[in-house]
Amino acid sequence: MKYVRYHYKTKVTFSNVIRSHFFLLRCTPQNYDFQQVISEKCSVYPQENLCIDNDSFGNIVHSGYIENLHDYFEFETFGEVKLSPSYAIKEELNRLFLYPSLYTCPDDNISGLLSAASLNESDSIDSKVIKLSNVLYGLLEYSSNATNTTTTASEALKLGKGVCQDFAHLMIALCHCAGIAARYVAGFMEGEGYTHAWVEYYATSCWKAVDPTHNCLIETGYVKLSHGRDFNDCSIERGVFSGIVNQTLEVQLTVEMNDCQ
Amino acid sequence: MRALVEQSNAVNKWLERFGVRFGVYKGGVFHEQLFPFDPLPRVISSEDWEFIETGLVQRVRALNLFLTDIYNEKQIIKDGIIPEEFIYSSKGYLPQCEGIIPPQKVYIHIAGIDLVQAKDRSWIVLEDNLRIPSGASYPIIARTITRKVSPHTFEQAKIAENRNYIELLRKTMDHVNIDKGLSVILTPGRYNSAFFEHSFLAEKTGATLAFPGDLVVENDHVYYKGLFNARARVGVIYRRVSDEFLDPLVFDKSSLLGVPNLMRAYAKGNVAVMNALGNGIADDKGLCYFVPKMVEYYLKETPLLQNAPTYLPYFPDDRKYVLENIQKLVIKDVAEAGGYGVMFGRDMNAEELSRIKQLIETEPRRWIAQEVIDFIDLEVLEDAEIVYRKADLRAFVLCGEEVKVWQSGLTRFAREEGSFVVNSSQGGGFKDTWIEK
Repeated sequence: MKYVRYHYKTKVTFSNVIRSHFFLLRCTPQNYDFQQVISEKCSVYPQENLCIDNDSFGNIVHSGYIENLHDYFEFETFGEVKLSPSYAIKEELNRLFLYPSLYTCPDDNISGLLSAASLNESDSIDSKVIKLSNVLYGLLEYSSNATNTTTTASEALKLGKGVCQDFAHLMIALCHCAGIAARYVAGFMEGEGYTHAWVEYYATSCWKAVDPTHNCLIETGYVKLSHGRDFNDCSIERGVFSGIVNQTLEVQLTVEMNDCQ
Repeated sequence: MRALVEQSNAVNKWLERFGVRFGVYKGGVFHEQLFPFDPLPRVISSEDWEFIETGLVQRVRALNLFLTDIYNEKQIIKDGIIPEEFIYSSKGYLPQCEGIIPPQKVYIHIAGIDLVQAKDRSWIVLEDNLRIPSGASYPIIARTITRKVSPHTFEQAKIAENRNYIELLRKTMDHVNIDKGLSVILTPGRYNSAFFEHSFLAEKTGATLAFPGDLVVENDHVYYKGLFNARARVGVIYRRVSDEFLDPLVFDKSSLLGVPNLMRAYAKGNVAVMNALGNGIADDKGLCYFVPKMVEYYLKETPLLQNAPTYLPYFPDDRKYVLENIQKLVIKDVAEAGGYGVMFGRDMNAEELSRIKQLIETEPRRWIAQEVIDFIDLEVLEDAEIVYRKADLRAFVLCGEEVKVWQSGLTRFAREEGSFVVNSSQGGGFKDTWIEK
């Protein structure tokens, strides 16, 4: 078991005042077979009443509205989580996760990669996934400036560069091509200063996970916040407001992990 | 009826004064044009109407049960009636709506079902419009005006009143209204093709016409922000904004037409949205094929209204038939609406045919093919002469406490001789529709 303490804070500073600001946050972990939440708290500033709900994928969402003029927006989430030594979620398969979404739609380039992975009928799903991840890892270079939040899997492959989000989208597309159900996961991992994205794939009766950015199957050490078809379903923060401004973003994330009983 | 013909100039002048318009985007530029009106009504006999009415009620009940099923249990997939691919790869299916039961379990508050009458006099469904069907206001206004210019005609003709649409709509809104909140009609604004209708219906029903920005979601409830920031809680939104623009925090984030966080208020059951979000899965052109099967599956009844014979290239047998017979079929792109993406095999040259054949082979799920229904021509007055034009009928079905068919409808006709394209966005005209009592 691992005991995790996380603290995540995002501050957006606006160059001028804004108003009528609506937001939606998906930044709160919840209990899964492998993850037990001991405590968690989410707050926003300027302080506003937060509504809490689950979206249709079951993720925890906080939503709110700041009507009056303000020139910054901050949200903070912290808590403690216990992680099992093996990452697995036993549940019935939602067959939606066998089909592509806007971001994970495969093109000929992507489906063409399948032959490079030389999957065998007799391979276990785990070994198929790691073979696919190997192929992808060889083709995509980690680069923080090449892509943005609207880049699709097919665009990222053409660029040959991307961040964890792009690795995850491509991995999902490849799994779909190989007939494996796969979904996008947003969360935290040890040692990173930013939020992370990885992929859950369905193996027989439970979801397991692969981190295509680091090209490894996941055992433990990952705190899950949300899952969905792609980045869009798992955005940590979405917002709209009135005002013509520039925005400056500051992100702080600390994740401490210790072994425990 | 002769009186109507004689008065046709007067009618059109009144229509212009009423501002009966329809907006069209051509080459990216917005034009507003008068919606051409033909004074000769389409008359439907009471026997024909009884059949249509029963068939439509049956169809809409089945479609509503399908939507309840597909966003919850999905029994119809598990039982093998519809392949899951038709659901999960449809743009109309919104996973964000999973598990949400709309107030009173009504998904389809207003359906606009497009029918045609074939030359053998049978009625056939061309398509179901279950998202934001427009057009009901035009026959109401046409009737109001024709009654005004020729009251005598209506003393003699035994036809059903159609101005009660307003009452039906009002009842439909009241039926799902949460805690007697404010009723609003949400319009995308002035540059929407049906803006005229939005403002007309708001005025007539007494609902508040809301523009994007007038509605705010706070503490999971929707409020209408009036003058001086006075607020009124909203119980029902008759929205004329498409799903993909309705909540920028859930769907298209660039949308300025929506209400941010509306989805949260809706999911919590604090506001009714009509029509419900996610209805696009039920009027996906690829799903039309399955509607008679839904009637059998959910209602255990024999479907009364038939579709135009439809082929799904997804199924190998159908694909073979479509590729071999493409010249006599009409091909439709399932993702398009308003008469866009509709191609007649007989009008395409060899190059176009081979291109479409290739698309059908590579993306079979994207297309449907239908036999061309040779539907009847109606008399249309053109420069004081009677000409014959193809016409369809958009019938409106409203689901309040009961499912009711409005005793009228929008008859649209093609402007060109022999043309089958009647859509207003493609320049078609309209007629009043008289249902004989």
